[in-house]
Amino acid sequence: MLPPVSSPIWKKLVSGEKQLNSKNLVINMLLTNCRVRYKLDPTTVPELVKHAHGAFSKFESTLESEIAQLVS
Amino acid sequence: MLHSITEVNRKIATGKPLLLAGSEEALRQLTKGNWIGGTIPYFMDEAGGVCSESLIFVTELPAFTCAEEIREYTPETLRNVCKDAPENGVSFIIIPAGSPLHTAYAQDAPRYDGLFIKPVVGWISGVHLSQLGKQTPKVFNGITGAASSEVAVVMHVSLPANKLATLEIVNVFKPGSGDTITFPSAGFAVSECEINGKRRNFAEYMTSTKQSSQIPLTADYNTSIVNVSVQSIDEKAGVVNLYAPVFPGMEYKFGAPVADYLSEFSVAAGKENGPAAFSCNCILNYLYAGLEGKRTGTITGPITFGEIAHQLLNQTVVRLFIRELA
Repeated sequence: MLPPVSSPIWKKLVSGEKQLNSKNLVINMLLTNCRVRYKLDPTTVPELVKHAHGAFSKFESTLESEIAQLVS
Repeated sequence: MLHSITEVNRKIATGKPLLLAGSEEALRQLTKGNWIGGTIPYFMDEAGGVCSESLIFVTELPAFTCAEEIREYTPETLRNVCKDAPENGVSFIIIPAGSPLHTAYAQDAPRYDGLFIKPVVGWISGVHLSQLGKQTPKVFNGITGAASSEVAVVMHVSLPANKLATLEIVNVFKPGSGDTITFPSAGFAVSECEINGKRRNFAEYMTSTKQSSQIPLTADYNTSIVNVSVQSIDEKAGVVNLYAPVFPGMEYKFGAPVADYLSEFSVAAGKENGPAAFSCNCILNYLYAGLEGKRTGTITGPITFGEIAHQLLNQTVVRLFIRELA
């Protein structure tokens, strides 16, 4: 089950603290863009978390392996 | 598939949503209808790569799709493309090469609200290579029949609740083992860079290392490899012109040389699950791999001056799959 947007895992994910193995193009593009933006301006975290949670919610049915990594 | 103008007009008359690619002369002969188009005379058809000024490549969208709207965007409104898209669907975009829209989308799209939630797929329109600088790449809005080099045209398509659009890429390039390159600012024209952390002029670096301009810069997006292709090197001005922007904060390496493009494409196409609803390939792959008259497995579609799968890509095959949800 997808962690709620309030879960600290999302900040770890968009900052790069949490690594994620994925072959999914949209997730890989999203994470890389988030991590570059975070590196340049860490105050963008709330916005980046919103984007990441939104994308995972939209594609949840195709992200079984990725979501398993978030909750492990 | 490639069709004559008469055949395409018959398809337009059915009212089905169509994505069309062809020469400006060919597209201007079409009747108004539920279509968008972009200029280019190069295609990958089932029989192989072909250049034609009279034929039109037609992508017919599956019957379960519903074209909600065809809309034109200016550089000022382009950032709304995902906001205007249906909640569950896909937005097909065509942008004229070299236009302010091309630059705006390339540089700003990764920050558009919703870009990684609502799929945007499409291509940069172009011209016959002999007409570079003489003709202007254009896009067509089939509803009005109008052609323009100053707007992007988008067909927003909705999908039933049990379908999901996902985008995939085929990139025959992998990062090479050479230097790590970073850039201090975003742009299509770059001079300053850092090579393994040391400041250097990028044009001088490429020249002195005899780096082939047919090999793109590659960036590792969490194992998805994204290319930035080299357009030209101006040694005198110390500037390298690129077909897509580089971004600060990203690390780049030149790609490893590709031994056999056709085999790489065929292997990649063989991994697919079912047919793609749309695909396109890059003019640089067409040229450098000598694709004219050659087949690339099941990969067909327009040849482009840039591919769009969420963000702008270079030297890459883009494919849209529409999956059935369990």
